[in-house]
Amino acid sequence: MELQEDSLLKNCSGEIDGLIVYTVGKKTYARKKPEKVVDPRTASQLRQRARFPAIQAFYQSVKVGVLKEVYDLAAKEEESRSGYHLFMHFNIMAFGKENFIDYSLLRLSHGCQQLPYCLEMKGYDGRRVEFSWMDNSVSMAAQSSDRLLVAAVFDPDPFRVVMLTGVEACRKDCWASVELLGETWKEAHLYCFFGTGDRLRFSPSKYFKVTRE
Amino acid sequence: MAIFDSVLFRRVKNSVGNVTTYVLNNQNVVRAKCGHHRDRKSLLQLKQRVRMKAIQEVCYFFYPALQVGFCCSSLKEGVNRFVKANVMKIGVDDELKVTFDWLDMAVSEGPLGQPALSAELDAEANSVLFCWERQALMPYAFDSDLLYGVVSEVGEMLGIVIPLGTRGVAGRLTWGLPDGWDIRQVVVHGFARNVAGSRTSGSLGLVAGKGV
Repeated sequence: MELQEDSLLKNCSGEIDGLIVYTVGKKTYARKKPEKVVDPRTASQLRQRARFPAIQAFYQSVKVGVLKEVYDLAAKEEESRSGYHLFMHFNIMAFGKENFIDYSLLRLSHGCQQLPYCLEMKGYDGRRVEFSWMDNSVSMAAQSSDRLLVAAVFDPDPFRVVMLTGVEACRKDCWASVELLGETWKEAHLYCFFGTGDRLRFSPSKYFKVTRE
Repeated sequence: MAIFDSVLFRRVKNSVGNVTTYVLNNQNVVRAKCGHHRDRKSLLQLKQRVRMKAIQEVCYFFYPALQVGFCCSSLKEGVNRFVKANVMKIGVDDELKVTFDWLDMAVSEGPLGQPALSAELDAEANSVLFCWERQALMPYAFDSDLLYGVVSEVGEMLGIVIPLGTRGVAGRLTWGLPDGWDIRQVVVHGFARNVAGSRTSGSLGLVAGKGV
């Protein structure tokens, strides 16, 4: 039950004589302490429980790079509690039991900038991967100077996302060649998105998969 | 035994005469005192007593590691959790002889993944060499997790907890044994703990001296 604005317990959290008071975002709630805790352990419940440690592990590598800035900015735009909560909201369903990740469901970037039209992977020559797209820079949400950013997850370290370096392409270039470093990987999951030069606005990401023998 | 809910007597503890009251699960409980104690001397009971005595003696050597390994603020809780984790690892035969493996003793317990940690004893340099590998980021195995080694001299000395490094960076560390330690009596364990100090991994028995 949500408390009124002028309540004495507004913004409090804790337990008072069998009543639990907690604050989520800007709202304060109070509810009765449960007399009996039920632990159902159904298949779907266990699957849901396994998602939390998995996404928290994944977020450990997200929070040390530019992706944290992306989600913090998106959280402000969407009035979400924090970038972390927005990241959880978008991505938690990509994780499953026994370290399963559906990489195609991951959204590593989010924002109001537009992705270019026809963004696609042209090929991989064993060292570099090529992307092409159509320039759609006609508004503030799609500027010709927007830079391409590429995040990658390699299969030997499936919970670690890294930002690829040496990517200099802009939206107006309509083409980019990105080097994929490392010798041991068999699969690479790539997430392309665009950001303004001042890194204040970002686009959503698009997923590509590279496999090699 | 009876449960009561009185307006006058809430959360009453202690005894009056033959009546003892205490609070259990937020309920006031009252019961009569035991008037007669039995002392069972069956083989199973005797084995259990021997086992408890042995685990208390073993526990002594790991005192410094218990609060770190079991993530608790008091030594008493650490001892209780050590006993719970290890008491059934003490073997007692029908002649009440105790057998156990020092490396099998758990000096930590928790949900984190075990570290890729190994140790070697160097008798010439009188030291312990720890080596740990970088591990992939996984649920319950973060880069920032701290690795600890526990070196105990089971003859006489209390163990020592040695912070090693983090799970995300491979490393090596040579730790010289203090004066008076007999390397043949040394037992080395290891475990990982998160940065917040709230969770640990299971314990790894790494290496034991030849005299153990």
